[in-house]
Amino acid sequence: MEIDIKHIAELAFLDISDDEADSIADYLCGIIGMMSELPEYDEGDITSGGMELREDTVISSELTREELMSNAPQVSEGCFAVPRTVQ
Amino acid sequence: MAVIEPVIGLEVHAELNTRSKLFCSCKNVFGAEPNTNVCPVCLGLPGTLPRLNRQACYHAVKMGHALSCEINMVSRQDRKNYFYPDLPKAYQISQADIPICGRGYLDILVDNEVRRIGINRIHIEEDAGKLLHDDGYEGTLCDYNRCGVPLIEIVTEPDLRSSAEARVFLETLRAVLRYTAVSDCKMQEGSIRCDVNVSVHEKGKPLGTRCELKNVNSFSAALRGIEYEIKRQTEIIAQGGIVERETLRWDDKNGVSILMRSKENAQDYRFFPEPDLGDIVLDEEEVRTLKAEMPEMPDKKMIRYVKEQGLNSSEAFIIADSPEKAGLYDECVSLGKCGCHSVANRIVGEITKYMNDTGKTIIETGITPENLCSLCSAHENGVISSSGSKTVLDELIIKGGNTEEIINRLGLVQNSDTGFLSELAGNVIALNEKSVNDYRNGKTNALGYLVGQAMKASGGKADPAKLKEILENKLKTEE
Amino acid sequence: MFCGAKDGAVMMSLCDMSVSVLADMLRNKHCSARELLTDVMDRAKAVQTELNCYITFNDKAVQAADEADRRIAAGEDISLLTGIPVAIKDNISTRGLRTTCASKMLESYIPPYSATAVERLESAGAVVIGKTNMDEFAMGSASDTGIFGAVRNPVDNNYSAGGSSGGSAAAVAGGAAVLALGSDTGGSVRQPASFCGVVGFCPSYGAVSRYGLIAFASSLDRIGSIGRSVRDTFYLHNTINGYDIKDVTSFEKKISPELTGELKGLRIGVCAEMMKACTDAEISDALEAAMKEMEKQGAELVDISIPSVKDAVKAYYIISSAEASSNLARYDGVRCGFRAKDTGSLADMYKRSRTEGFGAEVKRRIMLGTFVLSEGYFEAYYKRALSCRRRISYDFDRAFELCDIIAAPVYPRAGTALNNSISATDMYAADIFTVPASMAGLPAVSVPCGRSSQDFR
Repeated sequence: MEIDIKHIAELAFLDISDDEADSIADYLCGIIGMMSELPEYDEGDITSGGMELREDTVISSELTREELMSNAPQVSEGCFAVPRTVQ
Repeated sequence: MAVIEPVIGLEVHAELNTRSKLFCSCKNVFGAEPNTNVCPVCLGLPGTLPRLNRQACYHAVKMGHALSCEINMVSRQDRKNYFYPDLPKAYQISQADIPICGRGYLDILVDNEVRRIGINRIHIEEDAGKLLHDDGYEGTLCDYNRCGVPLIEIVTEPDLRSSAEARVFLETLRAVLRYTAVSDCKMQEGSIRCDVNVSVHEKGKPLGTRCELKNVNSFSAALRGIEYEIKRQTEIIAQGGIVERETLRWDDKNGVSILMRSKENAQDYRFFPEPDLGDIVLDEEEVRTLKAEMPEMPDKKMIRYVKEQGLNSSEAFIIADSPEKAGLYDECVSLGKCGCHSVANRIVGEITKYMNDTGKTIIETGITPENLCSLCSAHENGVISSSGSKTVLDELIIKGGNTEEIINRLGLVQNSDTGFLSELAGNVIALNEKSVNDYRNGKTNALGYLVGQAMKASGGKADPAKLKEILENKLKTEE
Repeated sequence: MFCGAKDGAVMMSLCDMSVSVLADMLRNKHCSARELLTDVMDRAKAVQTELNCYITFNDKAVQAADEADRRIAAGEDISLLTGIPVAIKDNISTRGLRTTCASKMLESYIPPYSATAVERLESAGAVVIGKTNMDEFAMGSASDTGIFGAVRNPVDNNYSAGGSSGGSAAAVAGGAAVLALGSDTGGSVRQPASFCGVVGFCPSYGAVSRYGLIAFASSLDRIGSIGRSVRDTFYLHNTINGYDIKDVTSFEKKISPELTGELKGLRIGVCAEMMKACTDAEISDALEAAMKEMEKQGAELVDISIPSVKDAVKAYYIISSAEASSNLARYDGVRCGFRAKDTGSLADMYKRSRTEGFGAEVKRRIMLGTFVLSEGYFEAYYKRALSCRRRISYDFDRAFELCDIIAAPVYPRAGTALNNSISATDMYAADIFTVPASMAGLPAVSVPCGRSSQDFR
């Protein structure tokens, strides 16, 4: 089957060179081929059932801003800094 | 020439006023120093997991009740995947297939007629962070204080037919949001935002292709954006072209819409059920109680005021828009001691002006349903004059108290006795021959002068309306 | 350090002893937690070049050992794990201690918080020795896709320790740790435990909090326990399990407080489909011998069928890669992790950071996951895989009406040679025995029952 590798790579924000594109296409086709043999069942997924909901109370993080931002590649004025987004 | 009809749908996002965020216990508050209300969860640090805020769910239910929506007792959350720096996890936890609230409606008054606007759904989702474009810094700065704040998204059916309708809808919806108290709706703080969908078509023919307008930052911007889009799309069709399915950014400063994404570049959000969260199962008792405790909503009030009590739309809106004013008005009317128009006039007039000038709420004024009603009926029954009633109202607003007591203390009771007024009229006619002749010769405003003289002679106590009537009769019938 | 006997005979090293024996020795002051830690660390460092179990050693371990000694000396109420050196797989967050997932993307990442499982271990007084090597982001079956090199099997260095929790399994098997935590999504605790000849327990989904486990596939991930005996593994699991408020998918799972070792009346299911898929005679022989032994001790063997077993692997790879593609999207160079140098626009920064930060296997899985979730394919793949999962659960429910546990091989091979090159399809297909339990949320344990007659010792 035809898989649009470039499009998938765009969606995933990955650079795939033309060489890599071929081998990834082979990989995907192989795996998809294996998966295509899955039978169709009527059921939906297993239901998780309800979950416990959190009470609406404020509990501030015990960590400081510095600690929380300590792994940031670039910081400026207390904010995470990135190249300019498109206006 | 075929009739081109615009078709408009709205997606309104309102921030919920819960204390904490949707998926973590960070404070939900506007205006703090950047990244000071964040934690590993809302920053999306590796290994963290979300925990859903129960209050946010029941706020959504409340809004659902207010808009007569079906409530889905079991609903699911889904991941909406896309990359942007304001979205730490690179997915937003939202609701796709099964939202908390299903179909409902909101009735709005357009040209005094009721128009029912369908609501498609209400769902809960998390807000993204804020991006700051600083002139000093070359790039973009990300502040995640707002990230994870709970939002409800209210999606309408494409039932609106003009920008004016859209405006009324938005104002009515905002009033409903305030009544339910689930959101403070401060547009300048971004707590209410909307996206607009516009298409045009020939009336009777199938619907046209719609365009989505984003970055609409105020209700009036929504109007301008809608008007522009209608015009733009109509022109395309008039020239024989085809409207493309596009997502556009509204540039309010320049009054134009700018292409963000064409159909080809449409986002593929790859929705799938959020595996870190289970189903949202609502408590039946609580849902029922919320419905039972729902007060009458402003949209219903407005319609009632106009259709049943004969108020005009703008009065009805001013009163219904504020839960306090509506409360005061409704209580006055239910006391049954005076006409609703008198009450409405005073609320919309002096009371609103005072509230706007001082920033006070009604509780902080001296007005109560009892004293306001007494005032209205005193005026209606001619016990006091218009100017007298203004004086009393001013004191009631500032100091409160008992209407009768104030009227008596200030000596405002006017005399409506026919005999007294007749004598007064007679005297003033006798003393002002020239004016009487002027009147009889066609100068009708001489009457006003005569009334003034008579009022002076009575020390301001005469009932001016009745006095004028009697004077006029005398002038016409007597020689 | 050896415990010398009077006649000078060499006894077992501290680092190779069981938890019960060590706990006893610590309480009776026959050795200190510090001495124990030193012994384990020495062994770990000695075999590091050979086995490559560790990525980072914990330089605060000594403090923890000293604290354990203090508590023991003060006669405080202590747990079995107090003073016991434990290794933590490097995808489990440890506050202040680098957590890399064996990826360039997180090579310098130091979490500001610890996983709940780690906090529970530390409260119990266990001593974290360090972070173990693994497949990058837990994707792989040989602990060789990470940036720190492959983990080798202590049994035979020419063979892989298995994956993705290879470092944890090898450390325990090699005496470089007494216990270790791993993570299991499709078999990543059980398979390396099997390769290294130790016990690997993969608990029920939700029995151990996932808070702090760096996510691969959210609906499948568990934190598993590895030890040299079932008893040791049991002690470790018992310390970390239980409901955690920070993970709404966790729950309080009933577990017997004692290991009885009682086999009488236990019905052991033998799954026809799995036995048929086991083509290695040595493995099926070893398994059969083990089952016969259990029968002798009072267990009953029951034939069962789980028809959807053959679909489990396919559905597993669809679901796990879909969730992984979403879970790994947050690695974009903005808040933490690798950011590529000299990038231009924002899109450029995202693309280059992710392309350079992730290894080949991770990128493949992200592509696979993105594909199966994408418009036009979601119904055919992802939705179908979800309903397959439900069917597998049904099949297991029916099977468990007839038996109490199910016995099966862990892997089609006793071991994988290093640098072997098999196709992805074949590699994935080999998860056939471990994936069904993963898909059904069931607990499973890998227990050694034999050794290969090949060049393994």
